[in-house]
Amino acid sequence: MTSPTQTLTRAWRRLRSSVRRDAVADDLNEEMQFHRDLLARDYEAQGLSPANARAAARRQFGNSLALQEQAGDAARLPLVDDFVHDVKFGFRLLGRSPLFAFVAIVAIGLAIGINTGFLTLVDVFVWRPIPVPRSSEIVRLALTLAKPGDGIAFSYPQIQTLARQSSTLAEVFPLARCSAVAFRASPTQPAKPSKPMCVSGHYFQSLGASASIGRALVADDERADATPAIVLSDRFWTREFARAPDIVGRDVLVNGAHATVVGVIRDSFVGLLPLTPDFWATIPTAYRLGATPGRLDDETNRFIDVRARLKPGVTLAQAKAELSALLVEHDAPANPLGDANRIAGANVIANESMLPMTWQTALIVAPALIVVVLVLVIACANLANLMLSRALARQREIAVRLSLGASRPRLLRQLLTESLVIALLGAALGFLVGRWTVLLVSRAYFARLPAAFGTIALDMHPSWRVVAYAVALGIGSVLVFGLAPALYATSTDLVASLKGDDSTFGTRVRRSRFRDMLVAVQVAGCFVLLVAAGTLTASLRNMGQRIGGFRPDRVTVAALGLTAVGHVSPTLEAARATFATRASHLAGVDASARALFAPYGSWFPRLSVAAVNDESYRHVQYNAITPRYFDVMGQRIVQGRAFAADDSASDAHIAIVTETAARALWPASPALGQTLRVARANQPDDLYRIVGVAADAHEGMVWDNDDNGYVFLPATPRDFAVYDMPLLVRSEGPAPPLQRNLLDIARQIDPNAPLDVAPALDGRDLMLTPVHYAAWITSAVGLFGLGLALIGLYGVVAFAVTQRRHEIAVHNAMGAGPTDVLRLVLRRELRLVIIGLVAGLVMATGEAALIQAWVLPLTPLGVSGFALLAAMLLVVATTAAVVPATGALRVAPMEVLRRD
Amino acid sequence: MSAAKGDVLPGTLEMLTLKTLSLGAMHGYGIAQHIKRISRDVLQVEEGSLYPALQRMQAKGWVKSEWRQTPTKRRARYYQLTTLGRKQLGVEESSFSRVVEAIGRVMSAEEV
Repeated sequence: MTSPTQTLTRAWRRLRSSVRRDAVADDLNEEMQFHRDLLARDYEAQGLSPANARAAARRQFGNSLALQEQAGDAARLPLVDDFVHDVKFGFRLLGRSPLFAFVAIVAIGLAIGINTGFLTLVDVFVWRPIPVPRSSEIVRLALTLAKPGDGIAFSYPQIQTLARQSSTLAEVFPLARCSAVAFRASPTQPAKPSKPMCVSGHYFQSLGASASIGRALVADDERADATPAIVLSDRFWTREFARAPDIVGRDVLVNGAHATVVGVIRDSFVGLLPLTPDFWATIPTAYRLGATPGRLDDETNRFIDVRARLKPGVTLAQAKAELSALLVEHDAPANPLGDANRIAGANVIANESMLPMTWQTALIVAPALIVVVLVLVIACANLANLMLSRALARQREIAVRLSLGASRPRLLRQLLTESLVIALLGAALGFLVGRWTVLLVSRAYFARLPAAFGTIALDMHPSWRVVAYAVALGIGSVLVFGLAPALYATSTDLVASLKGDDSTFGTRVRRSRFRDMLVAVQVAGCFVLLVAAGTLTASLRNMGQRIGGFRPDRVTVAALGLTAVGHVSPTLEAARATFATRASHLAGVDASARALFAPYGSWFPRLSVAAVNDESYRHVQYNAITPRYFDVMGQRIVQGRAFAADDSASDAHIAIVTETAARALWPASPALGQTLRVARANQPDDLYRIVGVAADAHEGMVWDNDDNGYVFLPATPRDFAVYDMPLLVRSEGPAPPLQRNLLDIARQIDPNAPLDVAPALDGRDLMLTPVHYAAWITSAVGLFGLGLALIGLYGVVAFAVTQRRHEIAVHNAMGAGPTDVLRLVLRRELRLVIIGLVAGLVMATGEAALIQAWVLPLTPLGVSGFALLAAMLLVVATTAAVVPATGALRVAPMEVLRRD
Repeated sequence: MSAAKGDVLPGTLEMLTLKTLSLGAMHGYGIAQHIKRISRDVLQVEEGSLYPALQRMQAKGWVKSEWRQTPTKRRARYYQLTTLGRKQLGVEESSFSRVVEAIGRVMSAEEV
């Protein structure tokens, strides 16, 4: 007859009474007192004296305490009641040993914190749906070519084809890769680099975004004859315009061209990408402002990433089939880029989160997941050890309670509840630790990103998923660290424990295999963490040293004006040339040069090159440079010469290779004077004569693969007309005055062109920052884990020695020397450490290989590194074992033996 | 606890309490007094049974309680029938009358 809801409400009422036990008792007490008072009044009315009346009332009422129990029981759930009692008891116990409580809660808290912090990142990027309406319909498109490879971006004509002709897509969202631009809030203000996002006219409307003032972009803004309109992000409006209310209609200069601010988008809007730009413009507007590369009508100019909304009911496969057919049909009849570059179709990938859960994502997540879970395992193993020690210390208490009739399940429940108290306090601490770590680290990291990246728009706060995860980890860890010690503690021999005779206990209870295992697990886990920390640190050092044969520490990179590829106006080109000349005459400047790529500034592209009579091409990284490049970079010319001034101007077909490239291309003969073939799309190979060989140096991104070396070509007039060609300046003097001087010159030359000036090593440091963070965190956690493991090891040995006191005493009495006894004690403990080390070695090697293969090209630690760490662990572990063992030796044998 | 000053029949305390409360909210003492008075002192409610029974009924959701002022300005817990309790009263009443009827038939049966 009872419905589920009734059962539930009833259970809830009882639960509430259980938790509010004291309040319920007080209520009952007062109620019964009231009743007794009224009874007494009745008796008084019948003529009894007040005292007699009260006594009579009490008699009639009966034993109020027993009553209270009875009535209380009716109102409560015994199980919950016990639980509440156990929780209170657990808190009291923790309060009695605050050091244990502190170590336990901090250990489990840090471990859970690292896990929840990691999960927050996974949640933010991989799980959380992108914050747009009906996000599950959004997909990611990629163009695929006949040759194998990852999908690539689309050209503007292709986007138009898709938008107009597709029957499977409801909406197409082009997101053009556009470069930072020079932004001037008014003609009187200096230009500043700022980051646009280039979208379609219906972007905001389709994604449900609105302007806080003015309007968002509309479809008409995409028309070629429309006034160039931009909308600002809230942050940019605040930063550059101090939230001026009359912003709408303001005329601004973007790369020197006029544009009109038509509105400001609400701060809450994130959109399809995790970064908020400074302003948005439609792709045609961005093209006219010089923020997109190349020409818009060029079929081969592929710079647009695409998200799209599927029509309801359309599957990924259907969309892929239709879009592929459309794209292939529209591919130019004779693709100028050759057959390998013919369009094969489109990939349609689900895009429910910022980082879709693909196998690539999984491969990046997996190694980190292993590390964070490992930390938790170490913490649990350690806590299990601590709990076991406590359980053993409480053996007598437990034995007393068992003999007084407490049931084993009841005691187990109590011990587990104590563990749960620790774990949940730890989980709460961990949640906070994780939250703050993520917020602080992400804030610190994104603050370092140059303005040209935009600002992170994602909410890094943990979601309910993370809270649930923290609680689940807490409860899960109780099962790991609490259950076994509790089982162990409640299965003792009552008589032995009650007698309080350690030696009897020692002979009966065999050495706990479980404890041995715990020590081995901890040692193994610490070893893995320390190896990971060591690998990261070694890799960082190595990447820092991967500079090779040049000295970039005194080099400053200055890029004047911001343009997309192919949009360098003749004015800007001239301004850059003037800037370079004037900068080279500055006091303190030793040398200056211009290059296609500033070292460490970006990914270096590669050329396919071959020796003139060799069929197989190799990919080498290349740069186009002016004559003094090698002087600026401090790179030595080993053979031949550097470029001369007229090499650049005359477009002479000469090249310089690094030693590695020379060896790779001409293994048998000197490179000087050889001819190099460079593959060009759609043209016959270009031929270059080698005029010089430069010392090896790493110039690309820190983990660029430059195993084949570099090729340098002289910068051609076309390079200056199409590319930024930043200026590289070598100065032995301090950097800040130089930067100020460069800024001054830039302002005098062209106020429309902002100057981006920074030390050459900044780019590298920025790239290395996440690795630094990872190295610090892993080291800290590894050392923390090591500390815990040592406490554990010490505890185990001390315990084992207590157990074997009898044995040691006999050995001692029989004349064994201290060394023999020590060896006896240590043999077993060190075996555990060695088993742990071997297991750790296997895991660490696997983990390193996994990271190496999929995430970062790390420097393997090497045999010496492994050996050093292993030796360190062994020494520390031996010390932890020797201390209690020597303690045992000091005990007089007779004293121990007499106790039997 | 003599039979003359009869205890409440086992199993009927809840029904009597529900019936009493169906007249209006009342505190424990009032319930006991009401049953005693209406039954002309025949039915004595044991306080030792009354309070556990009230707690039980509250846990089952038949009655609810709140602290109020009595007319004499004292604080007392007043119990009140819930809809569920009213339904339960109906159930108990009908099953009780069936039992009474059955007992009556047995007791008045002639020897065959």
